[in-house]
Amino acid sequence: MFEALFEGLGLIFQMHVLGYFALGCIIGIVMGAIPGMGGAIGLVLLLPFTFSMEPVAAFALLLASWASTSTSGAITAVLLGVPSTAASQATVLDGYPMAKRGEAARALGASFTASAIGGVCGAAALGISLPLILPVILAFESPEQFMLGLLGLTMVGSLSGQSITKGVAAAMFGLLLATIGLAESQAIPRYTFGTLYMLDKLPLIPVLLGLFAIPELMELALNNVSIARTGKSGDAAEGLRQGVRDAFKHWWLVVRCSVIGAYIGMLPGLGASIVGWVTYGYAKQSVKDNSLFGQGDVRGLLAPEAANNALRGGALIPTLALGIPGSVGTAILMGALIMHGLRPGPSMLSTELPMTFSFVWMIAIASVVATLILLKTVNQVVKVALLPGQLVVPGVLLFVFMGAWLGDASIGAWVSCAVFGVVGFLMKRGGWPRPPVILALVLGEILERSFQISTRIHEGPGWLGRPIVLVLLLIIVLTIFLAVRGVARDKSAGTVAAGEASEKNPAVSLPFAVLLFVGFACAAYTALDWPPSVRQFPLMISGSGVLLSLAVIIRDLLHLLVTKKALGTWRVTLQQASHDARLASALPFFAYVFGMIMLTLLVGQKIALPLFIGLYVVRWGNYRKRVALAYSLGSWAILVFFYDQVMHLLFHPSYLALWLQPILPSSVPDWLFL
Amino acid sequence: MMNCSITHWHRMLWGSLAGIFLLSCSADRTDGNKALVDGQHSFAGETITLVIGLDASAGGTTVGRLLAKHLETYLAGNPTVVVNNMPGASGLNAHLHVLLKAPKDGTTVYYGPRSSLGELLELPGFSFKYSQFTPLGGVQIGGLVIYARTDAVAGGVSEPQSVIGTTTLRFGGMPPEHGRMIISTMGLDLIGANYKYIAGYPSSGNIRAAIISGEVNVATDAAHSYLNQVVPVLVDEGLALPIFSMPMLNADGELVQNSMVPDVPSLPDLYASLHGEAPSGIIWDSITTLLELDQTMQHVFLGPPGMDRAAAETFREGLEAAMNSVAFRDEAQHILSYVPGYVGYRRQTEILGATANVSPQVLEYIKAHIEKNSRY
Repeated sequence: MFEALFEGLGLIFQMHVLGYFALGCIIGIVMGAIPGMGGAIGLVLLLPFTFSMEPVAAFALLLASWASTSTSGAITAVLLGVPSTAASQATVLDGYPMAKRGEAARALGASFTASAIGGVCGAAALGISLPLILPVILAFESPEQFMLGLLGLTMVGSLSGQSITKGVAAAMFGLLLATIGLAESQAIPRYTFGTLYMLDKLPLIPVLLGLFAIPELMELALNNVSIARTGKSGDAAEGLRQGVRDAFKHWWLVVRCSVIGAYIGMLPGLGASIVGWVTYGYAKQSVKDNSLFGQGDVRGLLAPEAANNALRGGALIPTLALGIPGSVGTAILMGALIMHGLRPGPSMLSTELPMTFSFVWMIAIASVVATLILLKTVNQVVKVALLPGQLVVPGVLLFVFMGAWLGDASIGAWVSCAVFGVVGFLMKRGGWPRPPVILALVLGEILERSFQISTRIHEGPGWLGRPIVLVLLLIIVLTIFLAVRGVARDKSAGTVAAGEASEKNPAVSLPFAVLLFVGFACAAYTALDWPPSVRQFPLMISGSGVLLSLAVIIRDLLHLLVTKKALGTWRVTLQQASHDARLASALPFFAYVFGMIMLTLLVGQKIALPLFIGLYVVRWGNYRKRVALAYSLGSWAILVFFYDQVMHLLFHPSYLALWLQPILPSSVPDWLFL
Repeated sequence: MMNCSITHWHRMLWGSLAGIFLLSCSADRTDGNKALVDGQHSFAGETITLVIGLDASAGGTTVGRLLAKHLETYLAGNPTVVVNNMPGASGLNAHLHVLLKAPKDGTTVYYGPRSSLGELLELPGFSFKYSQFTPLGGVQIGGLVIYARTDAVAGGVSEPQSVIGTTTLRFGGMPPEHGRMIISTMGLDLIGANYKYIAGYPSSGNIRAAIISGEVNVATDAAHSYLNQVVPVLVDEGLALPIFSMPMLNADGELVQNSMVPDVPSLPDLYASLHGEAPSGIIWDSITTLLELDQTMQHVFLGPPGMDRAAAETFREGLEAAMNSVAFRDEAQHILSYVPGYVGYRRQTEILGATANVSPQVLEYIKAHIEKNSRY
């Protein structure tokens, strides 16, 4: 075993392999930092270049790129509050508040260092447990996966802020969103409103970007402040050093979260989308004083960042040893294995063990190399936090919308992103926690599928008696108890709410609760017509959702009555609520965004997006026209030369393109604007 | 000073823009000769987009990328061929994109799976018929292998016949409307194997995982996946055994053994060995109908309706030349570990039109079979 371990390391230390490895790290860093790209798209772009390479060099390129995306994913999450990949969702919760406080360099230093430690610890955990790991993976059948999903969902308690009721109602909303599309058990469409876009299921990235990125960008736009609200960032070099020290100071938390990340990675299907939330929830519940979580506590940043790098190594094991890819990225890697004559299977843990270990080494070393490269760039990168908000917003919106577009090149992705932008804004202003929606959206499909498969196989609830299921049930009960106790303790201690779901505005929360109530009720009514296997989950979710949203309605109404009593009249009360939520300013912002989508339908992205950006800079930012023109041209160049010529993205076939392309002479380079 | 720098800035800006435009125009002029070469349409200077109705990680995307590379060599004019994934709505978005929005000059073409079964059963989202597209050729990916865990029945599975008449088979499946699931379970019905259909697995990978853990004990897989992923993990380890392979239809419409798995008995051979006669009856009629509809040409190239005739002809010729070339076959064998078969556009047209010839009895039987596997 040790011989194979060092033989695997020896495979990497060849000049040409190291060259590809470095190239892979750089590509991965770029891919991870652009919203919506992520590791899988990097792999897709690189895969054709590896066709004629020898296996070790090919995997050096692929794995270095794949592993590095997790590290650089923290950049936009910390600086802009925009999770660029599914793995960096939870990083936003404490990373962005740190950047707002002027501690962007510290946050990035901490997250990059945690990523490196996570990558190494994850690989070490794998190396140690490799001989024993297969029976553990195989013990996780559908009943165990259901319970594990349920355990993930209990993290809602830690992500709910001060209102568990709102948190659970938000989770029910996420679970209901997860039922959209064709049911897994029968090809019956659920809640698609006749659209093709939602026939599969609601894609995660547009929802994620809408819920988190758009409300934050709007806040920047409305206040026209820099991301660092203080207007200045402390000494970047000192901040960076402090961040690195933070990671080592909390080394035990980082190691624990890395191990959790590695083992979650091994279980196919759970993966990157939940690991951040689970470890964030774990960190919050396991530390002594968690009162600053959500307001820029560095530990809330270290936990998910360590875990999402450790996850990569874990995810390799079922792919290599069992031929079971747990994610899009690992599915591509498995395809690459076969292309290079390596067959996934037990031989990867016996005769091919040095090769397997070389892959684990590559992931660990890539995490460290990416960290070293990124630490060098922090001084420059953090300057973004000092730019005026009005200059940051349009450029970031371009990447947000193109990131949403990357998944399936459908205008539905933009509509979804914008609609969830509105939902995210209402939730933020109304004091509703947004993380439970995303967590439940990710877990919903796994929960429904594994519950129904378990019930089918065991012809009833007999699977509840399985030993691992019982252990997981115990942990779930314990987690719920700890979460409820934590909230009760905060309330009794009179802790002032801050961070996610801390805003109190019953006049905004109430209409949102009413909307949810009506939505759940309609969903339940619609589900009644479906066959049992198709309606089972939607009915369970919407039934609970109706009750929970009703509870919130009653509470908000009582709060509103108290406020009205204090302010005198309904008019003044509603005016004050609207002023606090900045509804009047928000409406034009969303009008701009939806206007841009309408314009895209007419003239396509290559015209609409630069036009939107130019208009925004002039009208909202009050900048001179030449600044707007330069900004627009820069955006247009990114669309044409990066997204079109490099990424070969399929742009929206606008009415203008459909009309103009057939009549344009072939000498006109229509790809520049259509 | 300030004015000077602004003027300079403006000059640079407009100069760069003009440069980009002129470069683009001249590049197009240099290569953009669409004139006929030897009386044939030429794609010279064009970029052809293959809109793939699969996500980037799917094996079909790898096939599409490989074909794109070789089409660049064999299409007249040596165009650039790029791949765009549009996986939304199980590939229906990609179909509709080409059907409704692609230019007619052959520069945007659909590649990927098709579901004539979806058209036949009028599944959600099928608002079109395949006959509306311009057929350009198809790809045969390979047939199916149905396999079982060796501990699936008491006493163990030592030969395909062992699974007959038992009550402990659990078939791991995707939604029961999936063509591969329908034909495979009909095969089990034909040989008299009782099974419980466990629907809900989202992909073949998830089903393989469930087979490995023993959660289900019978499954179906494409022959190349069977060879690459089932054999090393399960068969070589003595954990699973193939039960039968689905036969394939050759260019003349005759049933033949799947050449990728010559050692696995084909369904009609297994049936004949059990019953001493060739299979017949409504189950067999349904299977042969599904073989034609769903299993003979898994992937297709489709052009938009009314696609330029010369461009379509050039594409068909280029595709045939590419897929029959030694370079493609060698590279496919190396990268995919199998060689996808070429289906000419005339045969493609027959297959796409076969939905109209399905007998009412067979259609009813298929619907009843889906209903049976949907019970919860």
